[in-house]
Amino acid sequence: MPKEITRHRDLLDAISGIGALRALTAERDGHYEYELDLEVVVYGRNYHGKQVGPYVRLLEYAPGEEIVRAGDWGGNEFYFVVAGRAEVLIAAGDDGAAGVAGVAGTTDRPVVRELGAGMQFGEMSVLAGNRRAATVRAPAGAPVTVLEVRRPALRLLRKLPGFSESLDSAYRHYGLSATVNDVGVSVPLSPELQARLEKISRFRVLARGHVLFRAGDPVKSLYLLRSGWVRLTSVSGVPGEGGAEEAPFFVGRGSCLGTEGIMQDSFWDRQGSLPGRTELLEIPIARLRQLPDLREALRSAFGGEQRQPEPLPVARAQEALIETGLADGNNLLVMDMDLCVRCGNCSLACHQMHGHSRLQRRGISIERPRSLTQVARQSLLAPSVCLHCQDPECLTGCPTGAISRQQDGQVDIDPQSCIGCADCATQCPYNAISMTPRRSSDGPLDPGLFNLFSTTLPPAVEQTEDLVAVKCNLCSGTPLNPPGVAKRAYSCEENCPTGALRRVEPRHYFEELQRLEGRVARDGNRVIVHGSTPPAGDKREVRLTHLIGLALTLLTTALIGQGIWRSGLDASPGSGWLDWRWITGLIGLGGIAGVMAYPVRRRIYTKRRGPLRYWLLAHSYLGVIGGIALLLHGGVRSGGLLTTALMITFDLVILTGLLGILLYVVVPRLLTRIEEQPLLLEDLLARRDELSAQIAADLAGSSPELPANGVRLILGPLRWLSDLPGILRRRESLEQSIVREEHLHLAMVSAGDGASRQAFQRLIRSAVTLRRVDALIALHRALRLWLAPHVIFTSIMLALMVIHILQVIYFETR
Amino acid sequence: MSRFELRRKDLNLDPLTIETEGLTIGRLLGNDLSLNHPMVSRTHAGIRQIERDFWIFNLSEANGTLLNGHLVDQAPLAEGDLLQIGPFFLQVRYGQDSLSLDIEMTVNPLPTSSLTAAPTADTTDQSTVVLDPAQLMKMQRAGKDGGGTRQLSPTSMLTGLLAPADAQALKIFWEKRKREAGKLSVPSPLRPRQAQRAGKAQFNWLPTRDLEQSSLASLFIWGGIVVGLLALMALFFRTSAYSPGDLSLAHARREIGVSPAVATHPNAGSCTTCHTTTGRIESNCAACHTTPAFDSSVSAVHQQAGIGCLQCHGEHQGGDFRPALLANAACTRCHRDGGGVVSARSGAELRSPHGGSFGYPIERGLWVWKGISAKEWQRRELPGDPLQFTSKEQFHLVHLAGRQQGRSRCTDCHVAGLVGEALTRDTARSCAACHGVAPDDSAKEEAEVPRCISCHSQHGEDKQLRASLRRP
Repeated sequence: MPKEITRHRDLLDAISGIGALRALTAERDGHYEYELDLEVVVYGRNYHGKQVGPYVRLLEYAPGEEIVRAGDWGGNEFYFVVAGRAEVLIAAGDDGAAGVAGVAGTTDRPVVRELGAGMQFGEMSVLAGNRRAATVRAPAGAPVTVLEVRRPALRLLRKLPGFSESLDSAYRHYGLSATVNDVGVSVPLSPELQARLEKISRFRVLARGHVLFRAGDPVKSLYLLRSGWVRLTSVSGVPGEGGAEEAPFFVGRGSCLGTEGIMQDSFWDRQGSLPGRTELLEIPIARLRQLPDLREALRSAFGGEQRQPEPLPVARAQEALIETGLADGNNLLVMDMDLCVRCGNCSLACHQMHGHSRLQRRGISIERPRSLTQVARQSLLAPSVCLHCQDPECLTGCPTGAISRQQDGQVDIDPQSCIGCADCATQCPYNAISMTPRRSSDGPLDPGLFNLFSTTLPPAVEQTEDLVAVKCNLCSGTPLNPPGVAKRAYSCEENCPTGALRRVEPRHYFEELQRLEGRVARDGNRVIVHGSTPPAGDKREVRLTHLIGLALTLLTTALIGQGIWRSGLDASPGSGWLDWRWITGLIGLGGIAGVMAYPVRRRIYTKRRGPLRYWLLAHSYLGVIGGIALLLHGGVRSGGLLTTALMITFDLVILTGLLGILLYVVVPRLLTRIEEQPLLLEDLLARRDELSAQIAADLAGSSPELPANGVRLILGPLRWLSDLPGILRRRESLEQSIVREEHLHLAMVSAGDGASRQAFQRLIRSAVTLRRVDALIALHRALRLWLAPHVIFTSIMLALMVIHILQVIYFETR
Repeated sequence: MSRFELRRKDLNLDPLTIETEGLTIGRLLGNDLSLNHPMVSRTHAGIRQIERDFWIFNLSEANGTLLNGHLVDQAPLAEGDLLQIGPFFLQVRYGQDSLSLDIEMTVNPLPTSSLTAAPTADTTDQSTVVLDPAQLMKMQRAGKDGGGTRQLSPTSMLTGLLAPADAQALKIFWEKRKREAGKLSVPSPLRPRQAQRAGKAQFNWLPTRDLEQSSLASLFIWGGIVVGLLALMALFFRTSAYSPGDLSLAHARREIGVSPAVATHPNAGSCTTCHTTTGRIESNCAACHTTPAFDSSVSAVHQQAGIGCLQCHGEHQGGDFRPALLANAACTRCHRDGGGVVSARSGAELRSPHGGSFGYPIERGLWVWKGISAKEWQRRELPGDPLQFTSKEQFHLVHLAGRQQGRSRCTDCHVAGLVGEALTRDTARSCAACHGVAPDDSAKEEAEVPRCISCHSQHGEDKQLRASLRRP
């Protein structure tokens, strides 16, 4: 462990001694020019009881001690050498500037560099969010003193003249060599050509909205994308203003634009603009032409790339993913709304795991084709949870450095240093961060064993003092992911009963994004997404489960049925007392025991006990097998009141269960057809109240103008029920429904003056919207209505079954 | 479409070129110029070209936009003007058909909540300012006019004059841009219009109804309690709930109905005579059904085969059931061809008696004497060899000689009499009295229809052919 030198005088001397930081201690007119910044950076400041800073530490490392290790995440500090020298080693197998450290490298290459006083290292991890590219340690013979600077200091240090320029140029230099390295590996290029390419190229960092080139401009440079996207549009209109008529066309990282201009002068045929932050390599063609080897290498590598435009649904999906920024997430939580049964167990699981749920089923919804070859559409919801961005907005503003990147690459918040200022929450574009009270929250919800009616909700957070920020942290540090676990599990994903919720890496999951990537795209330094799911997901495992379930069902049915057919229910297949009635009874009992394991598993949120979707499938199949066995067990004769009641309740359990399966399969698909955006039940209810109030207000305000019978026609109470089949069949959007309704009442609408016509149209709009809201509410309720009878009958059945078993045992053993 | 060149000194970015009709500036990333800081409104301001001038429009109600230190509503921009939006300073320069903005930021080391929300005209009481204050003072003069005039409005905000129609059109334009900048996805009309909470409180955690947990466990527990209580009550007050079927009349009666008595006391419908908590039910049967006239012990060969009372005698089959009268099915479960049951005595496989592989087959509902094997002839202690006799003689010898000596009388079969044609009248039927069996026999039928037990009794010492329980 390094020794910390805590004397402030030494700290200030160290800062003054470092060229890049010297200006921080500059004085003007007798006091420090950057007084407040210096105070926070070196001493820290306590305001309203919250501690901000200090951001620097003076550390002395013993000889041979490691300061940073290659391959580590957590680039939240960078260092200046104050006294002595530091050795830089790169592990074997490293790509050097590409920053992919060979994590398994134990055989270090010899020291590649030595850093002397005033030199800095480790800043790339802080700026670019990469893993540490190299190991830096004190030399074997002597200690070294370093100044450790934490990330929040960067904002302040940028004020120093020269500091931000040097940092920016270091970043660009790093980006340049990394990209050139990637090009060299993928094209491939010899080291000399790489060096030449590095000399003539420029690394550019650009932001959203920037126009890279306009249609008709001469092609003066090649653009090689390192990260980000370029949108090509034929019409020179701003995308989104309705100017672009054809399908949007995107180009992703690793692609090269402008290759048509290498050999002969040409012009850009389209305008290229940037939908997000983009880093690219700009290679001037004029200089490229002077290097024929390099020119040929690049032309042959990239010249053939002429991607065909995508079909419109695919292009629109790409547009939605890129413009909303979902394509740039590292670990994206997606919900397939055709599978989601709106149970909310994901939100509850997160709540049970963390004390305050970090998942709400509201967010960005996208409709995309399920795969490049299928026509079927997938309605996807990306709720407002942390995407663990490559370049997080939340990190940059945090005054204490509490929010930082952790060792597996995820962005996490340390509640000890968080002062609850909510700057991160304000800056997150996805509203993924919320504020919760600092004191430990109330324990997990437990309604109690005898409380028949549901609990009240946990209270909303009202206060604004003594809060900490919380957000999804990929369940790190929870019992679900003990240290050293190979494959991560997330409580939300583990507890989704249908497998609708997955945490994925967008580039793998969205095939339409993968297509956009070019040759030079390399994954080297991306945040690793454990547990990410490829597009096929675990379809194979699910299919296998179905197969096993079906096989078992058919097998048992065949065996039992055939046995009973041959010898009768009260005969035994072999000798002995175990006749078919016993066998079917025992199989049924086993089925019931297996089936009851599901509600037990459902209550477990904080431990790994197998994903819930497999449990639900097993529950259903065991229920069917047990059901068949017990149906045969009953025979055709009544056996008295007890067993008849048992049989009836059991049949009702099975029927409600089958109804539940049917609803779970059918209703989500109906919902995605007509809801346009996934909505919560409480939102729909609120909207219904709003619309009813609005209609009432409209009617009260303008009744003399509206024909009463017309109003009655529109506002029938259950109109949604009669409309629903038509809407589903026609796949009507809300606007189309409104237009259709207006047509229906055309005569009434066009009669009357402008004001009444407007009133009427408003009424139609409200009424049709209300109808659709009602339909959605009914569908949501349908997803739940089977559950209470299912459980009630199960509890009665279990009690009766216990008595029946006692009865049977008694009669057998007397 | 106007062109804007943005140079951002607050971020590590190259100079940007943006082409748009109106440049939106705000905190949300959907803006053309995104200044992501809590002191900046979601859509804070806009810049738009009107004729040759670029105009600044303040779009933020909560926070203001400062132009050269004055709060501005809408005004034309001049070369060298300094805009302040939150902690960001934007210096304006006119290029060739474009507007150039240099953006710098004052950074307060303390978090935003330590600052007041609205910027004041005096910008020097905040922390360090990036720009040279002297230069700032130089700029805070009335700007030169480019095409519109700047003046102070009644609310002492800088404003420029625009034709009302233009003003209205612009208002709509900025509303639209505000809406577009504001969203990552289009909110649908099915979504409620929720009011935003003010300030920092909008990020406070809110529960959703997903967190309502219905206590399924309690449903189980209550269901168990209710059923348990009902079961307990039924145990005391209505035990027939547990019964798989009604008791037979014989066991429900309050007095003995058969003479001579085969039971020691009447059951009167009690459950606990047979079903006790200790002891086997069969000992309970035997305890009651042991009288001077009746011995309920089971034949040795059946005991060896593990057969007790219940394998043959059922109950709970309804009131008309006669527990003593066994259907032939009870016997033929084992005593049939292909049953796979091995005789406990001889070790040979049991076969169907009387109608199967030996003895009396039934043809057209009547017994037909088929003959008997020599082994069986000797087993019946009959003299000689069966082949010495005719079928009729065999028949009569089997019934009257050998072991049957003295057991049957002529009139058991020749019921109509022994003289003349009465000899053979009704004999077939009277055979059926002992040997006949109805195809769909059940123990509920009249006792006159004979079944296995009409002759082969289990109980008592005489284990052979014995007519018992035959009603007169």
